[in-house]
Amino acid sequence: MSGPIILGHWNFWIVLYLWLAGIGAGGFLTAYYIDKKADAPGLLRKASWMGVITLILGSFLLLVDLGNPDRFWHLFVVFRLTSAMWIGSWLIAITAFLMFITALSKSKGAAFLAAVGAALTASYVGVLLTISAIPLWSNTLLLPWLFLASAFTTGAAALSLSKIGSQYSSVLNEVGKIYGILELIILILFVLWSFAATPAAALNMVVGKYIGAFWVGVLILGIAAPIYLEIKSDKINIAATGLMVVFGGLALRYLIVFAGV
Amino acid sequence: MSTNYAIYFDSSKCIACRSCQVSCKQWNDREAEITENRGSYENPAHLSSQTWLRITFREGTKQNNDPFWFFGRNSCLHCTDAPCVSVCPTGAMAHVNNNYVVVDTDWCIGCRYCVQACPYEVPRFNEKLGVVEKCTFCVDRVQNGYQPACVKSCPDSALEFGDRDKMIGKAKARIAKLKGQGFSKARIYGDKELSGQHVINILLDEPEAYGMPSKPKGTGTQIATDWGSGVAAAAVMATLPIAWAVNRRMNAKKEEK
Repeated sequence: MSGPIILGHWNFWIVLYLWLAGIGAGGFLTAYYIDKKADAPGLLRKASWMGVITLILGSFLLLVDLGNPDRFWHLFVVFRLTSAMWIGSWLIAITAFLMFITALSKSKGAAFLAAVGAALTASYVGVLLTISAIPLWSNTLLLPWLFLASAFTTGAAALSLSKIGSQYSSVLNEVGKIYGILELIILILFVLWSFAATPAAALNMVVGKYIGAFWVGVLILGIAAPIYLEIKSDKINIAATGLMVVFGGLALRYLIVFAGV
Repeated sequence: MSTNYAIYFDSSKCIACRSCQVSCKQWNDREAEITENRGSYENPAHLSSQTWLRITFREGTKQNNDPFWFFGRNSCLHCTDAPCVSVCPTGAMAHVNNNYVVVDTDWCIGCRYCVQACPYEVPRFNEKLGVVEKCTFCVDRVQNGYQPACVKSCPDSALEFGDRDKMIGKAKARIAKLKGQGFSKARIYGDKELSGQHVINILLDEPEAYGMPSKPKGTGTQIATDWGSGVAAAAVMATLPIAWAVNRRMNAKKEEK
């Protein structure tokens, strides 16, 4: 006799993974563009290490979530282009390696390739969810866009919390503001599209079981309050805003994953 | 050459005795599960690694106030264009003889992508073994010339087994007869869905009335549109806005100096 019925839907491990991958990829891309414009090797190195650590930690969490973690290598000895997870696993492994090279050397080529990998990684975590039968994930094409916007806001916020990042607070603030506005627009479109395609899941997300995560976690703490603070003044409390944005990014992943299944 | 097999399920003949549900458990050594009375004969509420087949019960009244009571068969449909096979990162979920879909539990890593991908909520996680399990089409019986256990135990002719083309022929004749009897919404499900499935269902109403999607998404379309959107998102979101934000702020800084 076995206990309660186990279905096997994804849970909080994947929430943490989506969140960490976004921070690492978005932070790296932000630093890459700042370095390209104004020569900021210290910031780029910091962001590279942050990317390496978040991607490896995120992958490790996924490994823990596997039913048979000791078999993870099965994925790397086969060729399965139809599987988004197969593509994404290679993408993340290669991107983390390129970020590692960028952190150690001053190779412009490695940095460029790592930036391409980071952009695709931040997008891939959305594609992973859209290629599914879960209505909230698969009925709109917007998850990659939403996760990319959030990758930039959370990545820039995470950088602003570091010591070297504080020297670049005004530009990181600008990145957070612009991507915060984009994130808000994409989130509104996502909710409207979801209401049209799958009303039950959309209601559950906006006014149902996840009402708190949606309004307080994602909208107010993650997007609205930071944008307000970023627009209002340059002398904002950077740490508080940064923490709110990073937490809001976690709330967003939680909302999408749990309101879906 | 192996035969292209199919299981035939006629919901209009099913009496919901659930012999198939029990014989599936017996043949495949599945454990009993603790379930709750939900006010329906339908039990359990979902498939699981221990329940590979269950009869679904849907009841209510039609628009003209006639009652209906639909019995559906919730189990693997063994799709040709199978989402579970497509998303599997290791190839553990695969077709046997280009026919039915079986998961190799010695190769499955337990990522559960198939659980999220199946439109029929069929593959299920076995926490003890750390792998996904589901209906095997009774591969061990079929390859030895026997019918699947569910078909064998059916006391009427609601379940049958044989060559897929013959089963489709049988289904078409049955639909014509049902329409003649006034079941105007009667339809075949599985002959075309997801490039053709290896379970041919006779339904008396729209698939949604049985908890099945009427238009399950093909994997090719889904891969193309979703990756298309993903790559477009990367190309747009990771270039223009960030370059604009950085330039704007950095130029402003230079002017200050």
